Amino acid sequence: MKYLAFAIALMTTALPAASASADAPRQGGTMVYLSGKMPSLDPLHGQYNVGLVTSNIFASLTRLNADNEVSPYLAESYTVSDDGLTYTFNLAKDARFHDGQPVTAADVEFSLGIIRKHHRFGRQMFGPIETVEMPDDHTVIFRLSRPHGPVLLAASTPRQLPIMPKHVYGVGGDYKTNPAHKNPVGSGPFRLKERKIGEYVLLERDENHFREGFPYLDQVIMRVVTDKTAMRVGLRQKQFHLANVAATMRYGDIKNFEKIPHLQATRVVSPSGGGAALEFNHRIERFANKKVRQAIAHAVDNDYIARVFHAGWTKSAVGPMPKTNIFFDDSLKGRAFDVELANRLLDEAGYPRQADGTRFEMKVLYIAPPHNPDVQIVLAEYLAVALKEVGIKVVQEPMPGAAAWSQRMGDWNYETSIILAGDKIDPAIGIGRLYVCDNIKNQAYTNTSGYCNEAVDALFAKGAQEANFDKRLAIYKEVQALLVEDMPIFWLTDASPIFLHHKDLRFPSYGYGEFWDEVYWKTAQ
Amino acid sequence: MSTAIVQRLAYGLLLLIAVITLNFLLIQLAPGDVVDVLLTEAGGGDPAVAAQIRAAYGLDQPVYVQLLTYLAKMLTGDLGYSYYFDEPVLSLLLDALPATVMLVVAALLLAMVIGTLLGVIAALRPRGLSSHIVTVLSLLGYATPVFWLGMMVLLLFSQYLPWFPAFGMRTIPVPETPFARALDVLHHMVLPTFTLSILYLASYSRLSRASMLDVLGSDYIRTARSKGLAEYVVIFKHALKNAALPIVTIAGLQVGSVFSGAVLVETVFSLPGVGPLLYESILRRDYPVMLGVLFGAAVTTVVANIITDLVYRVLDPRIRGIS
Repeated sequence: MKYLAFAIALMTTALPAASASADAPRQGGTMVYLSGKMPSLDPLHGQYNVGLVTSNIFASLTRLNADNEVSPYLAESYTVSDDGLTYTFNLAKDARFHDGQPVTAADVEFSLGIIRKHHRFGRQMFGPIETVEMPDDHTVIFRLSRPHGPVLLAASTPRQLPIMPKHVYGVGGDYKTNPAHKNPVGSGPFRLKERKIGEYVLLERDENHFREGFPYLDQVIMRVVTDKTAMRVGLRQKQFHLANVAATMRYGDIKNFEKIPHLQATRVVSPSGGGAALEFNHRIERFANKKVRQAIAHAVDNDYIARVFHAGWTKSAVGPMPKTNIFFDDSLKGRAFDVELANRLLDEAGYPRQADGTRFEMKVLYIAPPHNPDVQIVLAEYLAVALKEVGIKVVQEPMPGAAAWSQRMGDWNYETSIILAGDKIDPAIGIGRLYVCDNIKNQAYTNTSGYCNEAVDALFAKGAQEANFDKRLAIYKEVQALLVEDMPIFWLTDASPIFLHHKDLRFPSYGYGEFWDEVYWKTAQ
Repeated sequence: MSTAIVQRLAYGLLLLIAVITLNFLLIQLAPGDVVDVLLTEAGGGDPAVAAQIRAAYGLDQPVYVQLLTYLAKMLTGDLGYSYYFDEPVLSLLLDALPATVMLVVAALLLAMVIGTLLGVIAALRPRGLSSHIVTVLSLLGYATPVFWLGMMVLLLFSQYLPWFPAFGMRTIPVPETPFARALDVLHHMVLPTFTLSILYLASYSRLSRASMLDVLGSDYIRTARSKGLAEYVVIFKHALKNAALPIVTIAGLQVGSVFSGAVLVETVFSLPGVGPLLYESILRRDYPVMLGVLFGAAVTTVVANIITDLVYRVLDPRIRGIS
């Protein structure tokens, strides 16, 4: 816990010092964000832009600082007992919801209850919390039945633990159909001023925000634009100051936009990441063979994908954890590009080349354009070219949209498939689910491959139940080595969010690019 | 006359029930459901939570139970609740309607007036240069894909000549005075209206040209001319009035098809209309919204046809006798 104390010290001392420097934060101004659709303002909805806007309307208990370490936020301080069974959070005394009511321990307890029931990973994040105690209005104690590693990280973003007012979300019937989803009330840096679905969301600075001096911006406009031509016209004409690249353009286009004098691209480095991978269906004999899976990994140059197809904006993946994950094993090398070795492994596996030079056919399932072409069709086509070298004939199976793809995955009705799984910050939430035996379920992004290794299961279980960081790291290093040996899934690239923004906008490259309270204009607009 | 109306209304009602049932069954054929989409968009989730959402929305029930539940709700005027937008379907539809109605009505009116005028000009000298120009232009307009035209118009009039906004229905934050607000909306609607009207302009000009040619050859036109009436009176008062009948009919029938063009135009220009709502709800398998939009479209078409029918009876004495 030492690094936490350091982080607290950093939080309290760094700010006044920064304000004295030449590049001092400016108060005021408006930022316009180029947004895709925002179907709802339910903080647990799960769609990307919904999470982005609600992350600025709501506050979480903890937060990631500029070094991407867990630090205080709505909880101005917190302690974890040595046995890892008791978490005590002291809420900021002057924290208020946007309707003026104070944020109390009861609201935290209420929110935790909603999240455990309705959040997609409620059980994985906070399952072992047995009781919640509230000795006073500003103190909350979580008592766990067993140590659980992810608690602090899981509480570090409003995408996972938004603190919601009980007096708003606790009335008006069922949470799912609560009318407050049209008009959310949180305690985050910005309050909702206006919203027209399919058109815009207008946020304004919360004057009573508990973090002194924040946010800097007076106003944030999230403007919904659905057409790529219109997006580009708007970016050129300075009508938007910030845009998420993934939703706006291809990786290859970024350099063209960086040529526009007022624009700049920033790659966000957050501990939470994800990327593209090729999932094998282990129920098919060829892919149940470890040597075949290893051979495919050696036959494909994933460095080339990152460098050429993604113009250097992604990194080649080496293992089950993205390189940005705090439990990533730095010494991990992954499987080198080696066509000769791949051919040898396939021969050994018992799949010799036929008279026409091919060994076998391999179907690749993916989502057809216009869905994310850089990580769907581009990868499928490159796999076809690369694997031809080792005698594997790739047959592409493009699916019309996410719904159709999900059903095929849920039915385990595929040979191999492109997947894009996030790590959800903590391996116990986002990584283990793809590999452990008891999560072999009929649903996309569970362990649909059907891989099962008791040693891997035991390590993931141990990792989740360990509160000490160093001990967890050792456990996860072990599991990474095991998985790279088995190659149940072939990890292709690591992706981090990339934002295109106005050069004069100070845009934090940490915290998922979502901490808009720390965004400011460097010059008067 | 009144029995005819009752008959039309009864047919209309039956048609609507058939439309709802068919749409509902058709949707069931599409692979995947809204819970798949919600979880896949968010990068996965706990299967237990997925099961809980399905149960809450009744998606775990057999199809016929879901259909009966839906029909029963429809009878009480409840269009259901959107799984993806977290809002009642009716309020979503009402929010999206103004943009679409504005676009469709403006585009249809523009197409009708300009298209008819062009047709008249072409009909005056059927073998002249002006007629050929109108014919070529309208065929070109008719054959151009709407989304492509929209993109080109956008690049030309928003990027190279920055006269009109490239997206949306208004400036945010909205202007202070009501007058400035109205002007702002008008400014935003110019390009979408123009784009959508091109397609229909072509069909109106072709139609009015043919219809005018037909009428201009009739005896009463020769009579009017021989009376010594001015040419513009002959053209607009005598000829066009009669030639306009088929144009009115087509306008009524086109209400349904303009809708499909509007979906594309609204997407290109990021208008918060019914089109994008329908597109999103199909992509997301958000059945209540999709059924609600299709139901609305069916009601509009049926009502438009009934009205055309009745207007026709009023306009044309020959039809009035037949029931």
